[in-house]
Amino acid sequence: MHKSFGLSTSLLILSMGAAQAQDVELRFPVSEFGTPGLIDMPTGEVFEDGTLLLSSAFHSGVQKYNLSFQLTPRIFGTFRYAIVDSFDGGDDTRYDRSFDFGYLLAEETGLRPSMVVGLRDFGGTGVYGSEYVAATKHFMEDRLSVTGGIGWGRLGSYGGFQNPLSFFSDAFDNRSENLGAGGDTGQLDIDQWFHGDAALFGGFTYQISPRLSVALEYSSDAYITEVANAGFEHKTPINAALSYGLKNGGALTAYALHGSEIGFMASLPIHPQRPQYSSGIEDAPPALLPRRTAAALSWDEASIQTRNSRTYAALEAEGIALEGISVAGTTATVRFANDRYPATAQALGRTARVLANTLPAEIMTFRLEATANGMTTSRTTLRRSDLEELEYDLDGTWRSYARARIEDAPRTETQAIAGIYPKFDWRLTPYLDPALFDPDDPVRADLGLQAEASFTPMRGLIFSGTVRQPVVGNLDQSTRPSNSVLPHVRTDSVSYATQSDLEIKHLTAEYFFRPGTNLFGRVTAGYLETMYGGVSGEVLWKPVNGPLALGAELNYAKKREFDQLFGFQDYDIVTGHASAYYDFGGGYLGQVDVGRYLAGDYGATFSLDREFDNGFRVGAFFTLTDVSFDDFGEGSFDKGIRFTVPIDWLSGAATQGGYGTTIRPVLRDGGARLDVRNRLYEVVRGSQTNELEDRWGKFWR
Amino acid sequence: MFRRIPLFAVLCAGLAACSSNPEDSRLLKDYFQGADEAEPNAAFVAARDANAPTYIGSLQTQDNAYTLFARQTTNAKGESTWVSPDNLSLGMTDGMIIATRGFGDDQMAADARQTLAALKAGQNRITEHFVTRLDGDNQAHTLAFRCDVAFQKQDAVQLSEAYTANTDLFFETCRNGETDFVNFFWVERGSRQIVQSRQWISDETGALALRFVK
Repeated sequence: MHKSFGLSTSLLILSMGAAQAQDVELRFPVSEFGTPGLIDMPTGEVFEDGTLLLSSAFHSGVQKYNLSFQLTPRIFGTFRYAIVDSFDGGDDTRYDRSFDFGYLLAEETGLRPSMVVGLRDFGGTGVYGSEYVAATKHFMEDRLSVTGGIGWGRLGSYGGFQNPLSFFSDAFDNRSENLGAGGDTGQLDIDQWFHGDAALFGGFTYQISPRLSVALEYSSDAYITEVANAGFEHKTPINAALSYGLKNGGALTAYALHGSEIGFMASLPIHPQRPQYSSGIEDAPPALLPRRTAAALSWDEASIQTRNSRTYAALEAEGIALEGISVAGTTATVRFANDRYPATAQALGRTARVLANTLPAEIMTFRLEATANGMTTSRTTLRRSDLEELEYDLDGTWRSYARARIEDAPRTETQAIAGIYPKFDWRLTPYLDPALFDPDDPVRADLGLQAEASFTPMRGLIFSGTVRQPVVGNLDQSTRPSNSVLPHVRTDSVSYATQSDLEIKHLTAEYFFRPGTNLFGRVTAGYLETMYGGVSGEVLWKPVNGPLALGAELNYAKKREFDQLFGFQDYDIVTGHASAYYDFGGGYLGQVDVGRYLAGDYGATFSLDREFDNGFRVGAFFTLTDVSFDDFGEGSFDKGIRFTVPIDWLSGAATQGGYGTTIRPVLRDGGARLDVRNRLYEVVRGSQTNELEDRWGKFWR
Repeated sequence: MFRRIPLFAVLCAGLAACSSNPEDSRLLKDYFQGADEAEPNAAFVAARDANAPTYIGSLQTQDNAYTLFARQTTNAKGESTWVSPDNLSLGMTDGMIIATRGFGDDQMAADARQTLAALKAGQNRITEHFVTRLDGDNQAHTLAFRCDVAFQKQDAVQLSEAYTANTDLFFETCRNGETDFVNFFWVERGSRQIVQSRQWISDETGALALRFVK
């Protein structure tokens, strides 16, 4: 409608004005390995904190796909999938998964270079197994960076000399594994690290223009195995590269390797702290209106507990379901379900403003009960006068948080709105189900349709199910049978893919409840996940204001038929874990789960996640159990990395949910945990104090 | 339409979905309908029906990004909230923007009282101007700017066919260590009301031009 208004030209001249200085983002050199580096050689630098970097490199017969993450300002990690033709001689191709780790020893100062100690391929097959210490110094207003370093393992294989560490012990002189040939799969070869000959490497990068940079390096990698088996020619230790920087911070690079190969690299950094829209593009919140009397509002106390009330309708317009409300004296207490906002703080802010606009002037205090799956998870008390004072206050975010009181809400103190239950919800969506790293076809996937439905007859009780119908894809073309010596608790995934068509992903009854203060409970029964059905019970102790949570879970699981319909196989197991969760602050979440896994093995899973306040999350985990590394098979023990990208991070619109995936180098039967839905910690924490504080910036949004 | 949802986000949202839950289809609907075809904001309609004062606004970083802002309410502190048909809002004090909502990179709050006082007095002054914004990680940061408020010239601004305002044009040139911007204010002589302006919101959102239309 507003386009119909004519505009005089004088408004358009307002467009003239200050030219913004174009920020030139300095490109960061990335090595073939996806780590801070020159071409093959690492540098003494790290990425900007929180950076997620995707990169790939190709030269004759070699493909590398890298995912790097700067976990803390000092620590980075990389996962790499490499495909190397003829690596083991003959026509066989080596499919190699490996991990790198780097630690910033010292930051660059006016006089001192930055220094990094790094491990390359420390937990894979050792194809690239090496360690290094590198130092980098910048000159010429950062356009020139000069690197020097010392390497061991593969990085000590050209121009090597006696290990200087043998000054401390003769044991450092010998490295038993063949350089670059691969050692014990998946084990940490700590006794090999920094052993054997060492060699020096170095190089520089020079930024010719904001878009173009060159790199030149002296490499200490002799490519011994590639020369012996794959026909690689090592003519010179000198490598050179030319990079073109893209607007988004990525780079395209062409490089010459050892005088015999030309290669290409591409890299793309993702900065989780920088979503598409920093404050979101969802609709503006309701403005705070002046207080009005009950008469002016035509307020009728009798109808507030019905769905006909103005409060109910106004909250519904904001995407918030009012489930209960009580007014006593000058205090109104409400219970709400937030179906729209990823940040509960934003739901609190909008709920409070709606209450201020629809409740009479004499009500001074709002108590807001947040809920998750029907459970009340926290109660936030806000004063109406604070809202009025701080709506446009320069420091309104922090001041409103400081004045809010957040407490546990083991029981609701509201009277339920009539007619909220039963609820019935359904949705039909497309789905993508990828499977990675099958040597016959490293990327497989199914694309299809997914139907979900849920029925909630009363608060906390949810019957739900998901059915999938693959439409196109090649998951069912995998022909690799399980070679596991353990019970096949996960490695039959090929059978599940090939012997199913219409699949029941889950079909369960869940009950969520509050056994007492700081306590949360869940019982789930039915077809729990793709491969298992059974019964699962969990209790979580999680104080609303504390960083520590403790949980216990006990499950009886029975293996489902491969067709993923209603039948079961013979294998069944009682499994369960005791869990400790700790929010270290700064976005670091730690978790330890100790217990019995699906194959009957006992052990523990250790996880560390970095969660940005906007919900973007990257983490890693590993599991050690009493299954021997040999019995476990390839990879020696279960480990992986996982990440979640919130929808609103991509879109800017207020939409809950996200895309998450877990990447395991290899999925085996040891250390396998039941994949039951809605574990309590993740259900509960979003509306408790730590998360509310992290995202309180959204309160006034 | 002021706000653009990236197509990529819509596609990979998998929200090309049929659902009983209206929240699921909002993103898709917003993308394809845009704000133009959506129901105009009820508070805007009510304000216009009540003949509330109105600005026409134009976002300087996008082509054809025009909308109207009608005054919905004014609080005890003299801070007013102006709403648009496409669900944006502005917080304002006497024509100075003190907040925006829904622009993607909003001003959560601002304090430009010193600049406003200079404009009201019709004097050249050095002022402090504060802006609070949210970063991509939901954290509020307040930026302090040093501003030079300087008279430029007398200017006639036609506010309607029947009325042309006789104004003083002031520039407010602001900077801190990282950012600089220039705001323009056309202040009517006599009433000292800001009848037209161009005010910086944020780096990403750019500047918003406003003209009083009634």
